[in-house]
Amino acid sequence: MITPMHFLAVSVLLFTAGSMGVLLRRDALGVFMCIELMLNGVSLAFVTFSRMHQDFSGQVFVLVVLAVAASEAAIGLALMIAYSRSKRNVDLKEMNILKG
Amino acid sequence: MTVFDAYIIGFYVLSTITVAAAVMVVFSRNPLVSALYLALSFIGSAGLFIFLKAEFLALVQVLIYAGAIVVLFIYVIMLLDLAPERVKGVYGIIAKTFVASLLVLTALLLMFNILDLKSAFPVLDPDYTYTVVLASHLFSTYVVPFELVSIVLMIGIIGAVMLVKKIEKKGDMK
Repeated sequence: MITPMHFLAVSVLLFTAGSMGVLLRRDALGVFMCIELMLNGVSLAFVTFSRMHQDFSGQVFVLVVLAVAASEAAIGLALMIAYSRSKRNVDLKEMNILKG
Repeated sequence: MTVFDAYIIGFYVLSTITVAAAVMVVFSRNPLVSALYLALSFIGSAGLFIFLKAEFLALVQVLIYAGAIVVLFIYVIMLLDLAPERVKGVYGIIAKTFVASLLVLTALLLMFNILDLKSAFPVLDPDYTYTVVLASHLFSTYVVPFELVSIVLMIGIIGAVMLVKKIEKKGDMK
């Protein structure tokens, strides 16, 4: 029998993989992809709880998350293109020019 | 084999694909390969959405995440021409991060264990599509957030264009 716990376990695994990537990756693009993974895990949890309680507000919220993720991806990738024009890479370890 | 067994096997296959692809996103050094695994992970979770009777979300997930966002990622990766990451001297960080994520994982699983989640999902009418219910929620209770999201998307478009546009100096105006 598949219970809500199974789906939530998958969502936790996705979220943990994403957070691990955020800590581990060194290029900004990789970190960004891992943030999308984390958002995806959270969406899965939302849909699971919405199915569990038969309350469709969770699904509406997933749609909002999707739209915010789309605009975030657009702006973030634009920032990376703008940054790479001056630095030729998007390595997070080299983004330290504000450090005193 | 009954239909019920096929349901369980399908769930396990899909969730394994989703989680394995997610782990490969983190550990593959080539950003392009990462992006393709990201698409695979999104498609897998779209399948899980279908298991949860959220057909519309599954469709939108494939269209927007796997279709638009991942393509945007791949486009930017090719535009920036990123080299694969160097892995020298980061094994200590990998070990620390691994321990940290294991801790996060156990904490989250314990947190979910407190809730009553072991009972089965409530039975829904299998012939009914719940997209209708979702739409009625979206356009009655949540109509203001829905419109606000469109403003967020518009700000996203304008911001992306403004950030990438080359700013002309005043003397260059023609």
